[in-house]
Amino acid sequence: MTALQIVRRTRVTLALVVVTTAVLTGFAAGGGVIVLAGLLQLVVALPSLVPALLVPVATAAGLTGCAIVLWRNRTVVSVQHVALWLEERLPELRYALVTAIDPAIAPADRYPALHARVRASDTSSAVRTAWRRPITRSLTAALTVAALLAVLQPQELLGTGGTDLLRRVGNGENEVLANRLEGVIARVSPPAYARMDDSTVEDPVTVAALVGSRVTFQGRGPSSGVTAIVDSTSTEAGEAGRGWTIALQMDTAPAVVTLRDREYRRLVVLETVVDSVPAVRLRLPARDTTYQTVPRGRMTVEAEITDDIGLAHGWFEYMVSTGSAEVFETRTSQGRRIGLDNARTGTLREVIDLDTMRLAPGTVFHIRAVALDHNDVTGPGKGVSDTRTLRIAEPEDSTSINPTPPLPIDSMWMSQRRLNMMTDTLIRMAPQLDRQELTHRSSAYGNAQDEIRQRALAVISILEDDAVGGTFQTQTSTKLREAADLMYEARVNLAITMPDSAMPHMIRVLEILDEIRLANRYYLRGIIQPAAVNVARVRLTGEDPATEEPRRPRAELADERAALAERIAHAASIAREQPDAAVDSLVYIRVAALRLAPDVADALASAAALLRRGESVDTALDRARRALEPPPARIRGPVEWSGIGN
Amino acid sequence: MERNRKLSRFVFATAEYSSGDWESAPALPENLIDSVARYTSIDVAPSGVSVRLDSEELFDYPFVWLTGHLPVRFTEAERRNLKRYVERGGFMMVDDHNHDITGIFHQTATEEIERLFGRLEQVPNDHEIYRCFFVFENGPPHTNHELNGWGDDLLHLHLDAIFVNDRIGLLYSNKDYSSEWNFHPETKRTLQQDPTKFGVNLIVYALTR
Amino acid sequence: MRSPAERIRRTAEGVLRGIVIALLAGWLVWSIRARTHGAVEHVTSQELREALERWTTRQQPARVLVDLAHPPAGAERDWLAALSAAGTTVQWSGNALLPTAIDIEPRVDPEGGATVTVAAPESASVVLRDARGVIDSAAADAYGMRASIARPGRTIDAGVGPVVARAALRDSLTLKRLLVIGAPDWETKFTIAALEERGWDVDAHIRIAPRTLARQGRIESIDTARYAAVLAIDTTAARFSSAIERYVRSGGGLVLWSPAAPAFGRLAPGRAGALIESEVRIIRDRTPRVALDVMPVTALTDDAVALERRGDHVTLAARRVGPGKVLQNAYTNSWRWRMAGGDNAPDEHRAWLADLVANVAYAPRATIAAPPADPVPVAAIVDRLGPAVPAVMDRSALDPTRLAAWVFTILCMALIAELASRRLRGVR
Repeated sequence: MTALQIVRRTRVTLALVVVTTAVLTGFAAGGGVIVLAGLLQLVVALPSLVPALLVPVATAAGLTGCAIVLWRNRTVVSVQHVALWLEERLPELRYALVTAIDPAIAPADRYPALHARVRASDTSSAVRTAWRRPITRSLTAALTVAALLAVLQPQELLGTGGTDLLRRVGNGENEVLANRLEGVIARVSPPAYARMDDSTVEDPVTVAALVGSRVTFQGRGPSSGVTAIVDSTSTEAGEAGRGWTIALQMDTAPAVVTLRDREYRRLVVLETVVDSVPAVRLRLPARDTTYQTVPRGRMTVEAEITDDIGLAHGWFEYMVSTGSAEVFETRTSQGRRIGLDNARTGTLREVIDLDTMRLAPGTVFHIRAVALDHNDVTGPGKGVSDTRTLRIAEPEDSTSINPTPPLPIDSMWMSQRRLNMMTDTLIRMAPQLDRQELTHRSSAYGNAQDEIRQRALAVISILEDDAVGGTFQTQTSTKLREAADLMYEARVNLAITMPDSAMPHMIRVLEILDEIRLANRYYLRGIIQPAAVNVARVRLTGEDPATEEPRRPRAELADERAALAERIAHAASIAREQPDAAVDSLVYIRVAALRLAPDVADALASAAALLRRGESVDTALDRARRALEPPPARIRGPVEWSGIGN
Repeated sequence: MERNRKLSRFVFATAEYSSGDWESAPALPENLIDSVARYTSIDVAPSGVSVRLDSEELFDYPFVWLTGHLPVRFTEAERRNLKRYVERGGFMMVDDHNHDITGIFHQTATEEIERLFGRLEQVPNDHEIYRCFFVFENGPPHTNHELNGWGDDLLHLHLDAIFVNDRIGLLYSNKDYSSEWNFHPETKRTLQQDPTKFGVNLIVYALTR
Repeated sequence: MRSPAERIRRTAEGVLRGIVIALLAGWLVWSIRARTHGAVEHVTSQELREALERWTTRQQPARVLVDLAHPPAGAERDWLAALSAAGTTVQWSGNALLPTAIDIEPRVDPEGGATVTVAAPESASVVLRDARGVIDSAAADAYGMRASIARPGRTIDAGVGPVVARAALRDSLTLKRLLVIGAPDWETKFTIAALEERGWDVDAHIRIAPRTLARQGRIESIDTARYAAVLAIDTTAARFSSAIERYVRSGGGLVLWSPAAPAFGRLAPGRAGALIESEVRIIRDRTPRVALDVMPVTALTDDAVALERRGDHVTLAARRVGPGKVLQNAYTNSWRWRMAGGDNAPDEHRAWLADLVANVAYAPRATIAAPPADPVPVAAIVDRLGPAVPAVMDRSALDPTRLAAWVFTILCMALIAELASRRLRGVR
C-alpha cells in the first residue's frame, strides 16, 4: 500500500467515526431537550405552548449538536490534515508520511526508504485509539438520554405537538385527538358601556357576567367538530391560532352552555349579572304640598342618583295639570339634561322659575327626577324618583264640605222630562178639552216650567258665583243659561195657552240637560261626603237574573321549591351509578335555583365539584333538599286531638 | 263592633292616591252600593269609604276603585301596597275618567301598572266577569262617553287586566265608567236600562271568584 | 439471738405467707359462692354482641347483667329474650335510657306531610331526624313534642339521649273534595281561595241573590263518598243542616265558623259568644291571630276539647260526633290575616286553614309497605326482659377474669418475695 492509500484509508475510518459521533451527539442533544421538558413537567404545569414547540426545538437541538461535531471535525476530509493527524500520533514517522503522500515531492521509486518507513508504521492502532473515546462518550450520552426518555415517557408532551406537526407536514389521518374540552378558558368581555376590563376564567364551571357580555371559550386543538349549545341553539367553533374558539353573548336569563367535542361534553353555567336601573331619590321638594296661594319666584329641585355600573344623564320632569270636572289639560316639560360622566353617584340640581309654569288656583304640579344609565344592551336603564305633587288650592277647596244637593241636574232633567210628557199629552188632548181646562193646565205647566228654570238659575249661580273654577263649569253654566232662556220661552208660551209653540223649546231644553247630565259631571273639589244608601229600602227591588254561571276553581299554587327538591333527589339517586349525568343535572338545577333559592344554588355548585372529584355528595344534597323544605311547625298542647299548628 | 262590621260586609272603597284627583266620581260609590243592594243579597255597607293607597287600612278593603283625570304617579309606599294588595287577592278597578288613551291618566296609570306587574293582558269578552251575575254577551258594555265620541272618540271593545293565578287582580278600563255611573241612584228609576249592572258584576266577581 | 433486722424480715415473710393463704382462701370461698349463686356476667352495650355469641356457643352463665348505654338493636334484644327463655337470668340496667316513644300520622292535606308525636320526659332534648339529616330539635314539654313535617322521609327517628325511637309511615290517604257553604263575602272568598291554592278540590255554594248562585260542583248529596269535610262559614249553610248532620254522623268532618254554630246546635262543640274585637291592629307573623276578631266558643259540650285559647276565650274547639269530627272556629274575618299580615301571611293563612280541615277531614286509608320501625324501644326492652334493675357497682372489681388475674399476680409476687427473702437469708 502506498502512503497515500494508507492516509486515504485512515481518512475514511475517521470520517465514519465523526459521522457516528455527530449522530449520537445530535440524538443526545435533541433527546436531552425532551428529557428536560419531561423533568420540568413533573414539577410545574407547562404552558400550552411548550408541547407545540417541543418537537421542533428538540429537532433543532439535535441538528445543532450534530452540526457542531461535524464542523469541529471538518478537516477529516483533507488528506493533508489526516496525514498530519497521523504524524501527531506516530512521532517516529518524522514527517515521512506527510512527505510521502505527495508524489510530486517524494515519488515512491525515488524515495523507497521513506515509503518503507511509512509502510512499517502502525497507523491502525493510532486510528483505533482515536475513535474509541469520542464514540464511547457520545454513545454514553445517547444511551443515558434514551434511558431517561424511557423512564419519563413524555408521550403526552410529544403527542400534542407531534400530532400538530404531523398534521402540518404530513399525513393527518388516523390521528387520535385528545379531549379538546380539557383546559378550556373563558374570556369575558363586558359590554363597552360598562367600561370594565376583560377577565379570564380558567377551567370554568360558572361564568358570571353582565347581560350583553361577550363570553369567548377557547381550547386546544383543531376547531372542527367542537360546538357550543345553549338552549337548542348550536354554535360551531372557529380557528384561533392552534386552538379553537367559540364566542357567545350573555343573555338576560341564566343558561347552561354545553360544549361538545365528539363524545366529550362539558357544561358551563352562564350566570347573568343584571345591570340595575339607577336609584333616584328626590330630595327637594321634600314632600307633597298644597299652596293656598299661587307660589311665585324660584324653586330648587334636587335629586340624588346612584347606579351599579355608571350613570349617563338625568333630568327633571314637570307636569302641570289644569282643569276640573271632566276636562283637564296637562302640559309636560323637562328640565335640561345633566350629564353624569359615567359616575356611580350623582346629583341633579335645578332652579325653576315658577312664573313660567303658569300655575293658577286648581293647578296640580308634578315633579319627578329621571336618570338613565349607559346600558345600550338591554336599553338604557331608566330610574325614576317618587313624584312630588304640589297643589294650588282653589278658594273653596277647604270649605266645600256642604253635602251636594243630590245632583240638581239629574232632578231637573227628570222634572223636565215629566213636564215634556205631560205637555205632549196636553197637545194631543187639546181638541177634546174645553178652553178653560186647556188654559188651566197650560198655565200650571208654565208654572212648573218656571220652577225648573229657577232651579237652573240657582245652579248657574252656584257654578259661576262661587268660582268653582275650571273652564268646563263655565261651559256648563253657559249651556244651562241657554236652557234657562229656552225654558223662559216655553214658560211664556204655556202661560198664553200655546203648548204646541212651547214644545220645541221644551224638547231642546231636555236635550241640553241630557247633554250636561251625561257628559259633564260637575263636582265640587274637596272631600267626598259619603252618602248613605237606604239599603233596606232598595233591597232586592231589582231583577234577579237567576244566573247559573259556574265558578271556575283556582289552580293549586305551584310549589317551585318542592319541584326543585324533587330534581335534586333524582340527581342524588343517580350520583353513584352515573356521576357524570348527576353532575349535568346539578348544573341545570343550579340555574333554576339561582332565581328561587340562591343559597341552595351555591350548595349545588359545591356538590357538583365534589362529584367531579369522585367524592360522595349524599350529605351535601340532603342538606340542599332540607333547605328547600318548609321548616317543621311545632305543635304545642295536649294530644287529645291531631293538633293545630301555631 | 264597627270595625268588625266593616270587615264582615262588603264596603265600597275608593282609592286615594297622592298624585291625582282620586275623588272625581263622588256619586259612583253610592250608586253602585244601591245597585248591589237592589239586585243581590250581598251584605253591603250603606256608605262607601275612601282609603289611602299607602296605608295599612287598604288591606281591610279587598275591593277598591281608582279613577281620575290627572297623572298617576305612585309613591314607593303606594307601589309597595298595591303590589302586595293585588298579589294577595285584592281586586282593584282602575278606570280612566278621561276616556282618552292619549291622555295623561292613561299614559301614566298604565306605566305605573306595567312597572309593577308587567304588561296588561286583554280580558276575553267571554270571561266569567261578564257572566258571573248579569250576562254581557259582547263583553264590557259601552258608555255614553264612548257613544258620544268623548275623549279619544274610540269604542273600546275590551278591558285589560293583571291576572294573578288566573284571577283578575287589577282590571283596567278606558271606558269611563266613572262618568257613566257617577249619578244619583234615584235616577235609575227613570232609565230604561240600568248602566250600573256591570258594576254589580265587578263586585260579585271580586267577592266570589 | 436474732437481730432486729432479721426479726423484721421474718415478720415480713410471715405476712407474705399470710397474704398468699388469705388470697387462696378468699378465692376458694368466692368460687363456692359463685357456684351456689350462679356465675354472674356483666357486660356493657359495647361488649354485648360478642358476649351473646359466647353465651350461646361456649358458655352458659347462670345470670347476666347488661348495663345498657343505649337500647340494643332489635335482634340483640330478641337474642337476650331467647337466652332468658333458655334458662339464663337476664337482667339489665340503663340509667341513660329515657322512656321514649314516637308516632307518625299522615296529614289529610294535598301537600302531604305528617304529624310526628314524640313522648319523652319533660325537658328531655329530642332530636328528630330522617334519612336526610336533622329535621328539628327541641326540649320536650309536659306533653312531649309534636311537629308537623312537610316532607318526611319514609322513617323518622326521635333521639332522646342514647335512645332512638323510629317510626315509619304505614298509611296512604285518599283525599276527597271539600264543600264550602257561605255568603258572598270576603271570608268565604278567601277561604275557598286558600284551600284551592293548597291543592284541595272544592265545591262551593254561594248564594248571591234568591235565584242566583255562585256554584262550583253540585250539592246533590253530602256524603263521605264525595266530601272529606264541609266548611260552614255562616248561616247560609243552615238549609243543609240535616244533610250535614247525617254526613257528620257517618264519619264526615265539619268545620264551623262561629256565626254558623246556631244552625248546628246538635253538632257544634259550643255556642257562639258575643263578638270580641281585638285590640291589636297589626297582624304580625309570630302571633297573627291575636289581631283577629273572635266570636268565642262558649258553653262547651261535655265531650268538646278546647284546642286553642286567647286568654279566657276558646277560639278553637272540637268534638267527635259518632265517627265524625266537628271543629268550631271562633275567628271571624280570618281573611284579614292573608291580606294584612306579614310577608309569610298568605302561606301561613293557607296552612292554618288546611290544618283546620286536616283535623276533621275524613280520608280513607290504605296500608303501604313500610320499612322496619322501633317506635317504643325502651318499652320493648321492658316487655321482653322485664324491668330494669339498679345499676351494678364497679363491675371491674367483680369481673372473674380480671379478678383471677389480679389474684394470681399478687399471689405470685408474694410467693416470690417470700422465697427471695428466705433465700437471701440463706434459708432454704
